[in-house]
Amino acid sequence: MARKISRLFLVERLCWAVTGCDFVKAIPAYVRDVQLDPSRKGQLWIPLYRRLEGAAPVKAFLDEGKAEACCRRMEEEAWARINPFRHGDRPEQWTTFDAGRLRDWLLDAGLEPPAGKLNVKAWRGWYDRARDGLTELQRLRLREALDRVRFYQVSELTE
Amino acid sequence: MARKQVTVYAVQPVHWAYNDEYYYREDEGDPEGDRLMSLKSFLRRDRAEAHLREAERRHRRGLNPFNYGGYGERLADYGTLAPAQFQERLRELGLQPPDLGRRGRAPGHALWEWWEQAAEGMTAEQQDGVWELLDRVRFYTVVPLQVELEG
Repeated sequence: MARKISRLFLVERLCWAVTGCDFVKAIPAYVRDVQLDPSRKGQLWIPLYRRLEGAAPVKAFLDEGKAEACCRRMEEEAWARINPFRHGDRPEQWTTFDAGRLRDWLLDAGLEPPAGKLNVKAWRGWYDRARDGLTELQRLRLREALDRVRFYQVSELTE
Repeated sequence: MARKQVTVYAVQPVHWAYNDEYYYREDEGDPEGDRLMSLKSFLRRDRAEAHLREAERRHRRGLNPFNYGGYGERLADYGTLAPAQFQERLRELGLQPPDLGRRGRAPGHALWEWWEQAAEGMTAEQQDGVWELLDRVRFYTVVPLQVELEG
């Protein structure tokens, strides 16, 4: 007989919609979702995204720890192929930090983000160039700082 | 060995697109696309339906239901009630119903205009009551989803 489930942990994929594109001349090797522009020969573009309300269930667990571990693994896989600065078009869509604190946090992690007034395009280009040279710890610190760029979450469902 | 699955009940948005005259339902979904994103998932259908009712109520505020599904001149575009039943139920809500032909026709966007004029004088309960009668105008739906279950 099937056991009745009274508590469940659902790993959900968060919703990001394409809202525009970044035209680029060279494609960073890690980028997966590059497109050829049909209207301009040789022109390439990378989609820009914005977070929308909603999430799609991916996997269910009875054990919270296992759900969290699965969520972390999927989150890491998602981050391996993206530029987080293309997920949102304003700093407040990336992070709860203000621009100054974000920069300080990254400097403390041994990174050298663009100086001066925050320019979204400059930060995207900086990450494209810096990404392959980041240490595991730097990747982790960056992900901690960009706390609004998330692709998965765990939701608890109860009876 | 077959993988274990569990059913969850997801509250999902219904997609309406605008055609320069009114909003029409877009029901064909891309299974991988954003349109199938759930607002929230539940273990029990009744909990999902309670969440859906609350989400519907929030979404409806300030909207004219007769903008959704047609030109505001044919009752059948908005609900499945027969015209006489619809009018009777409006009277039960304490409202003066719009004039409707035998087949539920109200030429010249009259249903849309009826709402524009009547809504201001309605209580929140009366507005909810009218929306409930128009069962083809819904912004959310509850969908049972099979999700792979791990221990």
